Formats: sequence, structure tokens, C-alpha cells
Amino acid sequence: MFFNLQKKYRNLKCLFLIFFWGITSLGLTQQNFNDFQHLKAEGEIPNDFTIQAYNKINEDIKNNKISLKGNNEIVFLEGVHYAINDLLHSGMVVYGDEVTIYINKIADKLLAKDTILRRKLHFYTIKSNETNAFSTFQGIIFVTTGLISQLENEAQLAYILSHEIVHYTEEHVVESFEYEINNKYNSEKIKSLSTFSREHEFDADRLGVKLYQEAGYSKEELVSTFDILLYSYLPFEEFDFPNTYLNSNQLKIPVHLFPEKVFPIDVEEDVDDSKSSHPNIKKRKAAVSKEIEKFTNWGNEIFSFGESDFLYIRDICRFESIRTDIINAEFDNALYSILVLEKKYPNSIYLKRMKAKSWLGIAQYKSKSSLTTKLPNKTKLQGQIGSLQHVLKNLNTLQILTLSSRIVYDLHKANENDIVLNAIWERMIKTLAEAKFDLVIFYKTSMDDARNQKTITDSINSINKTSIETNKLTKIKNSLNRNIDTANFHLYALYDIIVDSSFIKKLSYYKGIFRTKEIEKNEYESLSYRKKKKIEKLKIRNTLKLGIDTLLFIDPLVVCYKRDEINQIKSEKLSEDFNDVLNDLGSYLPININSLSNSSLDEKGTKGFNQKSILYSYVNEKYENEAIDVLPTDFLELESLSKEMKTDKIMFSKVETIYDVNFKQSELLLFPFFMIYPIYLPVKIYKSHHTYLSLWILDISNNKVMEELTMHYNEPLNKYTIMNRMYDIMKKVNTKPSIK
Amino acid sequence: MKYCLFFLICFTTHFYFSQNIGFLGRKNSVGVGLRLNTPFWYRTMINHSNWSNYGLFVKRNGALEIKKDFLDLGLKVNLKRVIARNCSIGLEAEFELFSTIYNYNTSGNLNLTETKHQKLNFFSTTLMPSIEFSSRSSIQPIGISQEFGFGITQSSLILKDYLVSGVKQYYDSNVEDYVDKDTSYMVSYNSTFSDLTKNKFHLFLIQYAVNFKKPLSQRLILNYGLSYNIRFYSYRMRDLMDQSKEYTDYGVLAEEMRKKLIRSFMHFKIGLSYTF
Repeated sequence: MFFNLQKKYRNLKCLFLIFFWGITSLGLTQQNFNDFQHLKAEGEIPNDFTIQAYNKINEDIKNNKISLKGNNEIVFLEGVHYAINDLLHSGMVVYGDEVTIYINKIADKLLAKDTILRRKLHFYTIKSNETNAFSTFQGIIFVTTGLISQLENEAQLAYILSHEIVHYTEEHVVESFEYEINNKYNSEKIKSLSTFSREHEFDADRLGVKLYQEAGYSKEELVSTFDILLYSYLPFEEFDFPNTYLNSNQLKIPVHLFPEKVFPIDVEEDVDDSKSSHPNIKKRKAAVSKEIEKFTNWGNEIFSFGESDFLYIRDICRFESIRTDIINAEFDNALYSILVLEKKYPNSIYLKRMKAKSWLGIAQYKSKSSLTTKLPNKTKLQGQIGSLQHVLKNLNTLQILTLSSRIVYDLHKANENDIVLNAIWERMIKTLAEAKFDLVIFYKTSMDDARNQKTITDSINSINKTSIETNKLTKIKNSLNRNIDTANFHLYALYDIIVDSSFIKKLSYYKGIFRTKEIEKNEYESLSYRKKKKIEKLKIRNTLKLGIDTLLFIDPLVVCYKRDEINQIKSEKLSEDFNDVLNDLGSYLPININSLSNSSLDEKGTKGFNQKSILYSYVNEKYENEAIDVLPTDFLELESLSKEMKTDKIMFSKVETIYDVNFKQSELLLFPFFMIYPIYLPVKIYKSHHTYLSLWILDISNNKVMEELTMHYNEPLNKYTIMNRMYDIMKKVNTKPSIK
Repeated sequence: MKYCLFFLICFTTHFYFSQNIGFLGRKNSVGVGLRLNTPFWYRTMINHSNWSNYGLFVKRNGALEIKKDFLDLGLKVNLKRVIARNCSIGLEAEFELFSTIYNYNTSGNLNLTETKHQKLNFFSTTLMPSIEFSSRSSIQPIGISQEFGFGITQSSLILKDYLVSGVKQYYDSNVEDYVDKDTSYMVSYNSTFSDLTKNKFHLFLIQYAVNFKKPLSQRLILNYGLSYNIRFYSYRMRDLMDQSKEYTDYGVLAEEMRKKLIRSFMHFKIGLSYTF
């Protein structure tokens, strides 16, 4: 629907306000990686999150914060404040957490001599796998978890922060904006803007070195930071992906499904950067190397806060990256990251859950024939992860379903009391039922037993017959290879699962549900036109009638368009009104409305902020995985949230309003009938107000979209028209659907 | 009656949502507002030499001065009830003050030339049941709606000292004709109308209006819009009028008042409604 937040912020059209680090894509309770808890904001909520953008704009205008004047000043301030406020409330940014505190410690060290500047800067972490850091006009520096998970040491992070601090101190954001305004009519605008932007990057690289050097960090780590940047498109480690990684006692994947050799890593330092906002790596390395020579008193610090602290923070980011990958349906990346982290944390229940979740996702996508859309093209496979992607591409649907079932079943059986793994297994069975998974074709014996008993009746048998003719050594060799190199290897993989009575019972139950649905669908198709029409009418009549008593509202949003642009200030004020309306409606309706919105953060605090973030992640996951019946990654948190809010029904709503009056030529022909104009014109003008109210009601408990609709009205928008509409909607939502 | 029901059902397609009707569930409203009639419209639009640039004489600084006739004011009070999602019914009372020209050629002992008659004020009361429809997506009583009404208007002259000024003529026996003598003669001639206040005349009224309604608070709604009024009388009503005075002072005056009412076909209205 209307909430793809990650994509929205990934594509922020604010070249003039954000300076990327240049990588294309950064006293609390200690994390227990065996039971990892994803990053949450902690402590007191900073003002950056609670102050409304229009108040920030007014404050900046009052304090003459920028040299721009008139309309340019307003355009610039609106652009920067609204874009950053949106990002701060996207659910992706955290504050007060261990990672943010660590970043702040490094910033303290870098700016130890300039306390005034230090007080102006605020650092936050973005939960994103993009390898990125950027600074804004407001003095906020964002670092993604994806960036930290790629780094090798603290010094590299310190240099990246230095680079971003320079972007702020040199006011590159305002300069770029001014440049863009002054070169509006330049025929080679993109080229000149790129050149201008590249100069800023060189400046930040150069001046960043000074800040870095003054803090006493080692010069050896400077150039290697650019290598991190160069290879950031690959996973954070390049560990071997063994052919046996996916094997278990019950299942062995034939070697021929793996690539013969590791895919080469193919990346160039000296790419054409003429149309890029950043210089290429070769040029940046050369410029920084030259700059290094200008300084003599180099320090030798790589880990000023200790190596273990850095590795601990990096591991948090790496664990977080798995969650982000799964939310974004990048299961291959998640599995490879799990492979890397399993070596260090073999008993982590979190990794087991994520592994099961990834395989569930893979099975679900494969059963819908859309796994290929989630994997890179064969020509783009690189490095060790390429081997995993290659195998996933080579396995057919039945093989993927079998492999996934096997892995999820084993994880579930080894941790039978784990609620998350139980839920994943349950969803796996449902997926099998939906894919009409037929147990009859599976052998009730393991491949090893079958080989030993020599009672194999399928293709394995025929392979045996051919191998009988060979000599003893070949026979032994074939016998060893046979169990991993046969076409129907997967048919032996579920011999113990297909006799598990609880599995059979659940599979039959879900198959029954899907069968009933199919029968109902067929029955509907066979109905007469009149009866179909009657059912359709009943459906329309029951629209929004959901019989809900308590509802959780998330960020009611209003967007007012002014010609082709968004009137940000009006939009924000109306969004606040929308939130007030929801509070006021409680006295009119029997329905209980809770709301979590930006304007209520002062009251709800960090707890409300985190709850909102979880819901945004959930919605984002749902949106990214529209094709499948996704099991939310944060489903435990969602469960506790729904208990606290006393509802599992959540509503997202968005009101878009535009005033667009257009007269057709035919309307002007009405002029002779001038008497109708006094009525016609006001009606025409009034009807030119277009308001679109979009609603999305979700049931967290069964992960279903209960209602998704957009309504159109021709009326101007104010607080009370929204209230009347919401009253009407809430009244219906509270009403039970009629049967006849 | 059955046609009325058919008409109602045709226009109210969302009866099944009726449990949600009204503004925040409130179905009743009482409203008060102003009705503004601009004679300017019909005087400029209708190409009639007598009516173009027409003004009315008002008493100012002890004399009668011409003044453009721009506005007639009225007050309206209504009571409405929403009966379906996009339909409401109501009862409207309108109280309007009109002013009109009186140009009857004074006769008898008042022999005047260059006559100026002070504008005459008359008061009309209209009582009108109405029905209001809005588009499918609107929820009464908010948004844009079309209103149809049928009512009856009762009008009567407000009696006060109306003045006529002019140049008084006297009969000069020397020239055996009337001659101007008193150049600034002004006299009240209310006695001419004294009997007319007892006689009220009635007209039927059909009204079509387009209303725009915008909520201002959780109770108050701002209404504004335009209405077209068609006033007419039946032959039966005409018969009830005093036919014997058709061409007398009263007859001419009544005709002027009727004309004024009939020509006042377009109104702008603005008001506030309180919902309950």
C-alpha cells in the first residue's frame, strides 16, 4: 500500500541536504548474543525527535541560521527539516542505544578540542544494511549499522565521522543548494553539479584527515577505509561456503548443484565518476595519501576504547543486519551472515530463529515461483555468497521445500520450547499444505539405510545396478558419493518427519482449510450471475464492518499538495489535528482508540517510539513480502505490544488532499447560459478539492490485512471534516458485519 | 405521495449506512443565517431601460436622494434533520426586508412635477419545508448539497411616514393651467397606504439551492451558498386579491411588490448551524 518506508528514505531526494560518506550504499545492559535483542532506542527522547518541523523552521529563521534569504531560505529549510524529520520518525533511527553511545564516544574524542562544535552535533544510528553515513544541515550525523558491520576497527569509523563532521563545518549542504539554485538553467547541470559535489568530497576527505590525525589515530587505517567502501557490496566477511554446509544426517545435497569454483570478485577502483556525486576510490585514495604526508605527528591508535568494545559493537550491527535482511526478503544475505556469525556464536537461539525464518521465506517464495526475483542474476554472482545463491537457484521447488522443511524441523526439534521456532515450523507446515506437498512420494527410509539395505527401488537402484559392474574401489567410491550425488536425494530427507503424527495431523488440517477454500471458490464460480451479484452487494455493504472494539492507530498522516509540491507546513499541522481528532473521537464512539504518532511522542516517550518502530518494521516487512504470507520477524514484540495495547488490530491511515481546478473548453461554451454560472462556478471550485483517505487495517495476531481501501471525497479538508470522516469510518469498523 | 417516496429513494442510495448518519452522529441541527438579495443582478442583466441604473430614493439630510439599490437583507432560521447518509429534511423560515420603488403618478390635490417617491419597505415571511441531497461520497450535513424547497411567502407593507417630494403645482387661473410654485415641496403620504397593511398577499415559492457546509467546531457548521427562488401566484390567489383596486394605489403598489419578489430570484446566504 502506502508505507514502504525503507525505500522512501533510501531514495531521499535531498541531494542538497545530505552528504554521503561516499559509500554507495552507520553503560547499558550488555547484549547476550545467544538471545540477541534487536536495537532499540533507550533513555530520554532527544528534542530532534519531538520538535515539529515547522517549529524548527521558525527557530532557524528567527536565529538567521543561514545566509539564504526570502523564498530560497524557506524552500531550503522546509526541504531539510521535513526530510530529516521523516527519517527520524521512520522507525529506522535509534538513539541512546549501545551503538549510538559508542559513536558518540568516538565523536567526543575527535572533537575534544572543540567543545562548542561537539555540542552542536548529534549522532544517531540507522538500522539499515546500506553502507553509509551522512551529515545534515541541522548537525545530525547518521551512521548505518550496515557501515559498522563492514568496518575492521575503530579508527576507520573515526575517519568516516571526521569526514562527515567536515561536511557540516564547511556548510557543504547550503553551498550545494546555492549552487543548484544559481545553475538552474545550466545546460550541463548534472555534470557541473557532480563536479561541485566531488570537490566537496575531496574537501571532506582532506580536512577529515586533519581531525583524525589530531585525535591520535593511526595513519595506517586511513587508506584501508576506502577498501571497505570498495567492497561494501559484498557481505561483511568472505568466509568459505563449504559444499557440506547445508547437509545434515538426513539430507545431503549433490555436489553438482554447487559451483565448481568460487565466483570471482570483480570490482574496479578507477571507474568513470564524471556523473557521480563522489570521486572514484582510486582518486580518493591518492588524494588522502597525499594529505597523510602533510602531517608528521601521527598517533598509533586503532582501538582507543579497546578492541573488544569495537568487536562487540560490530557484532551488534552484524546481528542487526540479519534482521534487516530478513525484513527486506534478502534471505541469501541473511543465511550467509548467519554462517559467519554461527562460527562465533554456535548456540545463539537468535541465529537459529533467523536461520529458520530465512528458510521459511525461501520456501514460501519458491512455492510462489518468485524466489528468482529475490536472488541476483547468475552473471552477477560474486565471492563466497555467490555459491549459496548458485545452489538456491539450482534447486527445484520440491527440493527447496524439502530442504527448508528439513532444516526448520531440525531446528524446531532441537529447541522444542522455543515459541518463535514453533511458530516458524507451524507456518512451514502451512506453506507445505498450500503448495499441495504430497508425502506419498517420500521414502520412509534414510538414504544411508537404503544404501545399506540395498532395497532401493527408484533411480538410486538403477545407479546401483550400473555400479555393480565396476571394480571394488570404484564401487566403494560410488557408494560414498551416491548418497550425495543423486537426482532424488531430497526424497530420502523427510523419512522421520513423514511418520511424525503431529506433523501429519497439522498438514492434514491445513490441507483441509485450503481444500475448503478451493471448494468455496469453485462453488462461487458456479453460481448464477444474480447470486454472484447478491454476494458482491453483501461484500460492499460489509465494507469496513469488522466488529473491532479497540484499535491502535499508527501515525495518522496528512499530505497537502500545492500544485506539484507538498505543502509541508500545512501537512504537518493537519497531521497533528488528525491525531487530536482520534483522541477526541473516543468520547463519541464505543470503540477504544489508542494512537502512536509523532506528535504524541512527548507524552509516550521512548517506549512509544520503540513500539512505533516495531510496527513500522512489521509494515515494511509485510510490504516487502506482499507475495507471501509472511511471519513477522518481530512477532514476539508484536505479541507483547498487542497485549499492552489490548488489541491486535492496527490501522494506518493517510489523507492526501489537493486543490486542482481545471476548466475544459466545453465548459466555457456554457457561457451563453450565463444564469447557471452563479451556481456552476462555486460548485466547480468546491468540487476541485480532492481528498483521498487511505486506510490499512491489519490484524497482527493472524498477520492478515483486514481492510485496505482508498476513499475519494470532494471537500476541503480541515480538522472537523477529518473528524467526521473518521467518526463515520470508526463507527463502521465497530459494527459487526451483517450476514444477510 | 408515492412519487415523493420514489424521488427520495432514488436520491438516497446509502440508506443502509443510516446508523452512521449525521455530523459526529448528531442528526439534528438548528441554523440561523443571513440572506442577501442583490437586485443589482436583475437590474443589470435584464436589458430594460427603466430598470437599468435604477436607484431608490432615501431620506437623507432632509431631502430625498437617489441611492443604488444593491442589497435586500433577510434572516433565515431553520431546523433540519438528517434522515439518511446523504439526505436531510428541514423546515425553514425566512424573514426578508425588501425595498421597492413606488412610482405611481400622484393625483388629486398633490399635483407634483419632478416627483421623487421614497422607497417603500415591505416585509416577507416565508415558511418552507425542504429536502436536501448531497453526493454519494458526502455525509450530511457536511459538504456540498442541493436543496429543494416548496413554501409560501406572505408579504405586507411596513407602514411609516413615506415621503414624496417634487415641485408643487397650483392652478393658475390667469393662464388657465397648473404652474410650478413650491420648488421643494415634501409631504408624507402614509395615509395613502394606511389601509394596505391590513391586506397581506401571498405567493408560492419554489427554491433550489446549493449549500456548502464546513464544520467549524464539533458542534458548529458554517453554511453558505446560493439559492434560486421562483415565486408565483395561482389564479385562485389572484382572485383573492382586491380586484377592485387593481388600478388604484393599492393595485399598483401590490404589483410592484410582487414584481420585486419575483425578480429577487437569486440569493446568497450565509449562516451557522448548531448540531445536536
